[in-house]
This record gives sequence, structure tokens and C-alpha cells, in this order.
Amino acid sequence: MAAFSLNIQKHIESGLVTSGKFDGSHACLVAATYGGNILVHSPHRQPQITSHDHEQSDRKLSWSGELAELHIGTEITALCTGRLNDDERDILLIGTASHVLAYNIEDNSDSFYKEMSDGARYIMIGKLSWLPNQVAIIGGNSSVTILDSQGAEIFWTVVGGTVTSLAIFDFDGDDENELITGTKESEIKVYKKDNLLWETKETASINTLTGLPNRRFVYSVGNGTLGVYEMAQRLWRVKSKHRVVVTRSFDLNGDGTPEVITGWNNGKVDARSFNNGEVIFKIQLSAGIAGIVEADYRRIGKSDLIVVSSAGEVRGYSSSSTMDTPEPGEIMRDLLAKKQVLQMELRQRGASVPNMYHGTKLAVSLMTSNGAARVALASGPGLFIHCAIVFTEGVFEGETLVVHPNRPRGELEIELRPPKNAPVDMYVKVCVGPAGADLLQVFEMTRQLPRFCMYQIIERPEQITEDFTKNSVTAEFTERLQRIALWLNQNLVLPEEFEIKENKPNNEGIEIWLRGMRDNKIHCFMANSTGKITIQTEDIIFAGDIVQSLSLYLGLRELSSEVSFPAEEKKMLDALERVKELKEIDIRLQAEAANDTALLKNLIIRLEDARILENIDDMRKRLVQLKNVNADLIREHEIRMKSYKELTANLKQLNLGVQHAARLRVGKSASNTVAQCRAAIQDENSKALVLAIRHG
Amino acid sequence: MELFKALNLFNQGKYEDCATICTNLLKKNPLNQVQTVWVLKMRALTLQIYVDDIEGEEEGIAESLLDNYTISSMPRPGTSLKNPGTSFTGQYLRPKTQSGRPLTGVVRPATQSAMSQSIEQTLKTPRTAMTARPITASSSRSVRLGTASMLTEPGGPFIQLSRLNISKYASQPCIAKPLFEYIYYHEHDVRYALDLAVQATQVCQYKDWWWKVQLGKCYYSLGLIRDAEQQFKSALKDSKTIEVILRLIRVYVRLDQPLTALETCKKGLEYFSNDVNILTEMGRIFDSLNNMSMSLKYYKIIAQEDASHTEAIASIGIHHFYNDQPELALRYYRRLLQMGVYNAELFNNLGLCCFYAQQYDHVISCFERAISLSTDETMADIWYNVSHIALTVGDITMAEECLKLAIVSDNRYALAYNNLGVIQIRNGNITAARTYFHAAANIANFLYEPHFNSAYLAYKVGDLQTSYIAVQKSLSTYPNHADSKTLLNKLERYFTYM
Repeated sequence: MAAFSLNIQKHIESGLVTSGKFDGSHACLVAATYGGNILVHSPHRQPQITSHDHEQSDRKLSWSGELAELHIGTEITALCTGRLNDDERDILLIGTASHVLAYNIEDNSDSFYKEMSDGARYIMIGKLSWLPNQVAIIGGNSSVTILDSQGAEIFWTVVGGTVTSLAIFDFDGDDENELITGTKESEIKVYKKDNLLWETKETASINTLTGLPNRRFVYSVGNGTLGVYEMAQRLWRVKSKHRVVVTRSFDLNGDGTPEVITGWNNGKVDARSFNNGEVIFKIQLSAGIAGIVEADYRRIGKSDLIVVSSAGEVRGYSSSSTMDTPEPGEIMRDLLAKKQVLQMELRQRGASVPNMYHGTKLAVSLMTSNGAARVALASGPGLFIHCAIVFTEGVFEGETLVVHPNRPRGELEIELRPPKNAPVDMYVKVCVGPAGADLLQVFEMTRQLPRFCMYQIIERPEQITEDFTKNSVTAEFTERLQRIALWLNQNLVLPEEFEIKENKPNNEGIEIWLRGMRDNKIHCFMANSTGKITIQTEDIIFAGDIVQSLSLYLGLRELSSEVSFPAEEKKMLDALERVKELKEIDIRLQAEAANDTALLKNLIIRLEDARILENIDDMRKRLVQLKNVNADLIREHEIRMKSYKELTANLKQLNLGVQHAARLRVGKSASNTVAQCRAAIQDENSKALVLAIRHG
Repeated sequence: MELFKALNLFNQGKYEDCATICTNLLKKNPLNQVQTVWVLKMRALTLQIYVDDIEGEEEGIAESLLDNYTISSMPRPGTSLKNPGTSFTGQYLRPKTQSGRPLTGVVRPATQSAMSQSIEQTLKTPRTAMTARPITASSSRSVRLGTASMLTEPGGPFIQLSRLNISKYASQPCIAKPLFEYIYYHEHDVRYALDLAVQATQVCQYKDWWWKVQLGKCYYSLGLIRDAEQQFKSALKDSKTIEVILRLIRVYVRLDQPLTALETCKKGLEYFSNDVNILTEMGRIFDSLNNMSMSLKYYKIIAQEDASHTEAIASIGIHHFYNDQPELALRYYRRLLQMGVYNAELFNNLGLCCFYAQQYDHVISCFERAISLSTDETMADIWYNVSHIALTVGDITMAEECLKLAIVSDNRYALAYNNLGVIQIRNGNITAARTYFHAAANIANFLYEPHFNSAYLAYKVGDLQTSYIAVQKSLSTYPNHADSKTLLNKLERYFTYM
């Protein structure tokens, strides 16, 4: 049962709820409301009284405690509390589309106010293993920035896409914290210093990430999936039609191990055991959940779980609250499952199995042709395929495809078009039986689609345009050709195994031409006997995928490369030039807007003056002037918004370009590339940028 | 020869003559040959109206009413300048001036604004003959400080800003700087100044701190406080100067973050130890926070550093005066007199100090001098004080006459109406008294006395409802006023009986 509940009676923005001890000892709740305002609820304080202005708002609040409001003025995109230095008081970090403000509530003073050109989508305070102090980590549009307690930037890196969530926890079990990022482009990545430890792709944009003990973390994505990873293995996942707003770990039933607490946008909150995702507790609120925090709100010495709904309802649950589980227990469920299996078996035994099923076979082959990767199924003698169920993540809409031919067939081809270059596990269930049978045999199998299954091997084209040969990546892998051939066999769908004769004395290397089936572009992969690899392609992303995959396969920690992508370089230089221009325009527009605002204020004061003096003619004159200025302001605002949008788009493109350039290298060389590109972009130095892309 | 003469005049500070010679020279030669003369004329015109815009800063009505840079609406006590109700840690409530500004040692920049709640009040209170507040800060400077720009020049303005090729001049550092100052101080066109500064700072690759300061100044006067903060901070990183520190302090005061401002002061003092300007800012901030003891401490340090610092001496003096040590205050005011300050306000204060220090022989002569020196602005105050002395010595008739004289010189003098009301009660004219109190409360509702008086009067005649309303107004302006609280308790007891 709820330990306490109260109502703020204000709309709370979803996801923007946090708590902190701003005076060093008492927990307060912080939540963002409409229009860039932040509410700070301090339960330990009596409301400040008692002039007439406050009386009305006080009467609404039926509970003790003080509700203070902070005006930020622009839309708030992220909130975070924590300590950055030795001071035991928490500071509040507020992220907006262009700035980060570190604010000390108790002192009413800024710690720092820092411009973030990429915006601040998610802020986190924590200790990372490779940095000596607590730091603020800010995820923006395709970048992650780390700030120290003074607001100085100490680390910057690119991630592919808008950061939607960050978490700090021990990923690899060395008792030190790593940084994990989740992006809108549905990637989860784990960083340690400059190194990318691990990455995976989920099926939709990542909503939340929360670190758990024992090297586990819980994630949720935009299509309603919730799951837990341990190290790099997924333990479990569940899917719902609702969206997860917030995840948190909290020991709700007091058994010493934390549970995964999830708040959904339909107002449901549930607690799951993180071993298997079993729901042990759930409640339903009338409005969607805005946030869940953990704080010692009643000053009893231990933390409560506080659930805040978007309508402003606040409920607290203590850590050992006994609960009535609405779900049947684990044993009950086990027994039910067993019963079902036994009943099935009974039914099966009853029916006689025709012996034609003995020795049936299903042939499966994977191939690449006609613009897609294909799975071909062929059933054994005298049998037909009635139905095939293919389950893969992120290939089909809704993850599962059921192929049900009108009439049972002996052979079946299933088209697969994975949108990204990543290995995909595929589970296939095939129902096989003779024509007209009502009892079918089911084959189950698991196959992994190779990473580059959407590329088909072709002959060397007759004509190669000159532009094509200019685009290339060259890197020294210094590896035997045999191993590279092995990698090729594993990652491409080849009609026959690719082999390198061991005894051939002067083999001239590998040359493979590929056609991408998504866009029909031609790529060339070459390797010579010393392990020098050249990839000729117009697609810098594909080149990056190959470099990353190959170096992962070969276990390379460091790899530098020479890169030449004239088209990509030109794009980035154009973007850089545009950014420079747009920044100048923005300054001018800003000054103009400020000037108009001053005029507006002047007019309003004069209008009010005329009103008090009851000078109607003057009032009318001022109102007409106001209308004109107002129209000007609106028009200018529109122009400014447009130019701002273009600016963010260009910045994003720059960041993406940097990321692509970094993906062509591994290890130190990659982080060097990022750092140099960043420096070049900040100095608006186009020459340095080109050099950084080419040589790292 | 002409040029030499112009230069010489410039060095002597005879800017007007210098500008005339330059104009003649420019007429004779085309501009591109005599760029020197052009720049010299620019400098001469700028220096004519070169003002200390830090000390001369003023907040317009529009800024104080419509701008809201404040983050916290309910700050902790002692952490905000704008919310006086939350920072009662000082001695007690000092009287306020006509515009609602708390009384301080000297008139300080940007403190003309009263903390008013409604637009009517903001507009009404400063509309006396004496305190013509500017409507906006950007208009204030051009009208009040830069009178030169009002003069129309023969043959059009010296520089046509709209025809100026800004990017060309931005790339020439030796012209860009004087040109910027000309545009900023003489033409008061912040937008063009900003444009020039932006381009010039790009030319020098963001390395010249001077341009950063100018950018910050432009942003500050455009009301883009946060951008100004960034520029000043970045300039401070390159080069530590007192001017920039002072400007940064002003930024934080504007943002209503006194503690951050004090932190900036302390950092500034690390580089410029015991610098009087920074110490003055600290004294002012503590004063506005009602933290009198800290304010006094800093003013004392200033007085030790600079024994003729008027503001410090006057502030220490007023502190002692309101701390019931008129003898000490008298010494500080006499020090001011020795330094050559000779005006109505000082004699007025000297008179009051003498009176409280029981040196009655000086009182009358001091006030006589004050009246003879006074202007329209101060006349009412002096008559009000004389009436106070008359009241104390028991001469009610004289007091009444003096108060009426005060109202004659300023018919919106709320305190005088209030005191007249009190005298009328004594004389038994209840209706007249009530009218006076209502008049006083209408003119200045930041005063608690008229509210309390009218509440008390209403209570005495049995009009409990009116009394209740008035006493609540009194408590909202001065929450700790003991008499008002007692009265409220009494009223509440009555209401519960009913």
C-alpha cells in the first residue's frame, strides 16, 4: 500500500522528475512543468507565508511542505541532480535545447551556465572509472559531452544519433563504472574511456537505460519492449503495447535484491524480478507516469519509492511494503505449464502417428539473389510445407512473419531484407506434412543471418567510373589472407566457400566485387598478401561497418587507416561553411529580436501609462504600434526558428560525418580522429578537418 | 599644422575645438586620404560624452517590470535581492524614499526601482516631478547621459551608420576600436555596434579580450544577460581587469543571484586585493540583502583603503544613525563636510544627527543652511524633518505647518500626509485623519505606517472590517511589525466571537 500520497495538481512533463538533497540532508522532489518551469517540493519545510498572493495557492495544497517554482524560460529537455565536488549539497542540472545550467537551489546561484550546441537531451552525474572526480555527462544530438564541476569540457565524443538515455554502471565486472548510451537510432553502446566495449542494436529507439548490480542493465525501447542484459547476453524481455517512461531499480519487497521498477505511459507501474521478468507487484494510476525516483521523503532513514504521474499525483512506497500480488505465484505457473504439456502429450498419444514422418528431412539454404537475402526451404520426400513462421528482430514490421502458401508446397522461399548491417538471429518454425493432413510435423531451427547478407557477389564490372576509384579506405591489418577469407565466408552469403590455397606461392590477394541490394551500389573489397586491405566504395557507412566487423573478428585493438571520400569530405565542408554562416546570421537575428523586444516593452509601458491616465486616443495609437511590432517579432521568430533548425541539422550532419570517419579506425586512432575533427570544427578550420578525416 | 593643432587640442581635452578643426580638414580632403583625421574626430566626439556606464547604470521601468531573469520565485532568505520579504535579517526596516527605494548612504546605480507588485504601482510611484525614471534602459542612456546625440549636426550626422561598410572596418583593428566606441557611446546604436564587434572579434580569431568585453556590453544593453555573462567570463579568462569583474557582478545582480555575485567579487579580490571598486560592490550587495553588519565591514575596509570615499563614509554614517549612535554618525558626516561636500542632503543629515545627539544649538542653523541650499527635489524632505523636530519638542502647530510646507513642495509626499493624519487624530478630527491616511496609502503602498494607522483608527471607531483589510496590507509590507500583529490578533478574536 502507498506509504503516502499527495497531489501537486500541476502537469508534470514525462521523464523530467528527479530528487535531490539541496541543503545536504533533506530530500526534495524536482519536476518540470509546462513552459520551462520547474517545481521543487520540499516536504520538510512549512510553506512560506503569508501574504495575500500566496494564500490562494496555499489553500489548494492539502499537505504540508513547500512548493517553490523555478523559472527557466525555455523548454526543459533534461533534469538531473547530484554532486560534482566535495560540497555535500546537491546541485540541479537543467538541460535546454541550447544550454546546460548548473544551479544551486539553496543559494539561488549558478554554478555554471554552459552553451551546448548539440543540446542536452539527457544529463547524468556520476563517477567514471577513467576520470578522478564526479562528472556531469550530457547527451545531445549525436554527441556525448563530459563536464567537470566548473563546467569545463573534459571529454567529447560522437555517437550515431540523438542520445535518449545514459547510464553509468559496472559493465565488465572490474568494479569500475563504464558509460552506456542509448540513442534514438536504437543503438546501445558501452564506452570505457575512448574504447567502445560493446554495442548492440535494438528494434526501436531506446527510451531508458538503468544500471543494475551484477553487471546487468535494464533497457526499454519505443515499441514497448522492456528487457535486461547481463554482460552482453539478454536475460529476458517482454513486450507491451504501451510505452515505458521510466525504469529504476529498487528493493520494493525488502528481500535484499532490487527489482526492476517500470513506469508506463498508461499509468501502470510494475515491479519485476530482474532474473526472469516476473511481475511481483503492480499498481495503476489514473494518468501516465511522469517519473519514479528514490528518496527518503518522510525522513525515516531509508529511501521510499516515489511515483509521480503526469497529472501531478505523487505516491510513495516504502521499501518493505507488503503487497498482494495479483498474479499467481511462480510455482502455480510452473504447474499450469506442466499440466498443459501433459495434456498435449495425452492428445498426441491418442492420435496415431503415420510412419511416413519417420526420416523426413527439411533442407534449408540461405542465398542472396534478386535484391534480397532469401531463405529457401525444401521438404523431404512426399511432404509439403504448409506454413513457415520466421521470427527475427527488426527485419519485419512486428518481428514475425508467417508464410502460409495457398496450397502446401514442396519448396518455399522467404525474402529477408534486414535494414542494417548487423548479424541477425532468425528462428524458423516450419510445419510439414502431406497434402491434406491435419496433423503436421514442426521443424524448429535457428540460423544467424550474416552481417553483410544484403550484399551480393558479382563479377568485376566492365566499366568503372573514375570517381569510384577515388573513394577508398586503406588499412594495414597485417593478417594472413586465410583468416580474412574465413571472415568473408562468415559474413557474406557466398554461393561457395571462399578458399585461399595455402601452398600457392605467389597469390596475388583477394579481390571481391559486391553489389548492395538496398541501393544497387557497387563496392570492391581487396586484400593483398601482406594483409593490406583496400575497400573501394562510395558508401562510407558500409566501409565503416566492414572495418569494424573485420577488426572485431581479428581481435584488433588498434587500427589506423588512410581515407579518401571526396564526396563525403565535400559534404562536411559544406556543412561547416553553412554552420559558420548560420551562426553569424543567428547573432544578427538575436540582436534584432532583442531590439524589437525593447521597443515592445517601451510600447507596453506607454500603453499602460495611457490607460491609467484614461487617454483613449493615445491607447489606440499605442495598440496599433504594438500590433505592428508584434507582427514583426513573429515574422522574425519564424525566420530564426528556420535558421536554427538548419543549424542543428548541419551540426548533426557534421557530427555524423565525424562518426563515420572514426568508424574507419579502431582504438586510439579513432578517438584521435574524433578529437581532431572536434577541434577543427570548433576552430572552423576546414583544412584541418579534411586532414583529420583523411589521416586520422 | 592643422592636424597637429587638432591633436594638441585633443590631448588638452578640448574635444569640441578639436572636432571643429577635424571637420574643416575633412571638408578639404576626401576621406580615404585623411583616415587619421577621421579617426581623431571620432575619438573627440566619443570622448565628449564618455560616461562611466557602470556607475551610471539605471534600470528602466520596463526592465524592472517586464523582464524576469530571476530563476527562483521563492528563494531562501538572504539569497535574493528582489524579494525583500524573504531577507529580513538586518536591524529593522529603514524608511524608504519617495520612489520606494530603501534609504542608503548614497544614491546607488540601478536601485531606483521599487519592488512593486502591480503595473499601476510601478507606473505611478516614479511619476513624481523628482524621479523621472526612464522607460527602458536602452532609451535611458541615450536620452539622459548622451545629450550630445540630441544635437543635430550641420550637414547631417558625422557617420551614416546605414551606409557604413562594417566588414571593411572590422578588419582594420586600429579603426575598428574607435569606431565601435563611437557607435556605442555617441550614436547609441547597439545593433550596429554589435555587428561590428562580432565581425572584429572574428578577424582577431576570438583572441582579443577587449572585443569580448564590448560584445558583452552590447548583449547586456540589449537585455541578453546570459550571453553577456558568457562573453565577460571568456574575457576574464584571457585577461583579468577590474572593469570586466564589475560588469560580471552587475550581470549576476541583474540575474538576482547575489551569492554568485559575491563569489565573483571574492575571486576578483584574489587578483586585485583590496580594490575599492570591487569592495564597494560587495558592500552594496550586502546592503541590499539587509545584511548590515557585513555591509558595514566592507565599507569600513573601503574607508581604510580610501579615506575620502564618499559612499563608504556616508554608508557608515547612516548605519550608525539608524543604530542609535548619532554622535558617531555626526563624526562621519562632518568628515564629509571637511572633504568639501556642501549640499542640502548633508546639512539635513547633520541637523538630524545634531538633534539626536542633543547638540540643539547646531540643529536650527544646519536646517537653515539645508533649506537655503535645497532644490525642489530635497525641499520636501527637509521640511518633513523639521516637522519631526518640531513634533519632538512638542510644537504641534509648527509641525503641522512644516508638514504642509512639505506637501506644498511635493504634493505626493506620503509620509507627510501620514503624519498630518496622526496630528489630526490628536486634534480629534477623525474624518480628516482618515482622509490623510488614505491619501498616504494610495500614494505609496510600500509604506506600512499609513496602513497601520488607518487600521488602528478604524478599529477605534469600530469599523472592524476596514481595519482588518488595512492591517493585512500593513503586514504584507512589513511582516514583523509587532503592533500590526497585535491588532490582527485582537481583530481575529473579535471575529471568532461573532
